[in-house]
Amino acid sequence: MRDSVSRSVRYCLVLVATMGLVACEPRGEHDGEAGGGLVVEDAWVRPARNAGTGNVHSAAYFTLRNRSRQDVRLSSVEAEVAEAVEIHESIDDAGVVRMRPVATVEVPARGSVAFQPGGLHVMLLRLRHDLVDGDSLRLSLVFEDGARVEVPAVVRSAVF
Amino acid sequence: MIRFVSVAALALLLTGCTRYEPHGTLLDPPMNAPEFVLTSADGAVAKSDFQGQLVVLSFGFTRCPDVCPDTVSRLARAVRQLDPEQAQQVQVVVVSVDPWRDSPERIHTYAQAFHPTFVGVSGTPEEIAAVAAGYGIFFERAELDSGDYTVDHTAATTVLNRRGETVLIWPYGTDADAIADDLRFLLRRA
Repeated sequence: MRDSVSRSVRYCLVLVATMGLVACEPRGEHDGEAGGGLVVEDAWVRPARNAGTGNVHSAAYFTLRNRSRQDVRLSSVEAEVAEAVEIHESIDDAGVVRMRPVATVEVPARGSVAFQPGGLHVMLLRLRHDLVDGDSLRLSLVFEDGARVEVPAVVRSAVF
Repeated sequence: MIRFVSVAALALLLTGCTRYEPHGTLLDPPMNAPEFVLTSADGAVAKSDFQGQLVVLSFGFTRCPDVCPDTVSRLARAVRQLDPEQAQQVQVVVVSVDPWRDSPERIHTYAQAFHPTFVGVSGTPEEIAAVAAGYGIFFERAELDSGDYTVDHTAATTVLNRRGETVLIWPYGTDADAIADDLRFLLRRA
């Protein structure tokens, strides 16, 4: 009985300590995860050839999962591989696809947002070099509250 | 035993009679489609060059990073699923809806990056407008704040039968397996 009580106390202490650590984790640069409980999953970029001919673009995709209790907003993405990076959305308007820039993307508390072909995507404009299947590059996701998440993204074709 | 054989025979009979339901929209009877002459890296490309083959027309542009490469890569995956003999009877033609920026060389190189047998064609804005209108494809420049522009366009893919008539239309997002199934069906049928 005493053993069982002491086990419970120990368990509670560990739990409280863990919660404290999680709450105290600073916001800052992390690989694929921000201190605020934001996780970036399955980041990938479309292959692109002939970057040398100029004005060759590609797109990056990922899933943003917000494990925190607060909504967060993605405000921009940075990537060394492109001269400019913009967040866009493709909208299927009765068979006509329209692509428009998006200023910010809200990821609701305990929710997720998928960047995927035919929907939200990160446009990588004027690539500095070709993107070949299997290559890896880094994306920096910048959030409205100043948090920044560094993510490795693999170059691959879409999986249908 | 007799019952088993009867059930098996019936199942075979039913399988044989099952009508294939295409994933795309089948036009039955097929619809007349206008002739076109556009330009690829190696010169003029006309619809009539492909008599006897299925022609898959995909309208897009090289600066489109999302929907167009998505569609063309699905087509490439579908063609790779066909037997070599079947694949030879299918010609994918990527038609630029950005004639202002896509030279014939540029769109052809783009198409070939997905599959070496694909052909990319462009033309003058007037030529492209005429072909798009003939095939029911809407396209329009949309100016962006950045000073750049994108092109809004119908994202459906059109298939012409061996006689050059429109026979099937796939909406955007049709997956590669479905495209391959429909191509095999059209090859059997034609």
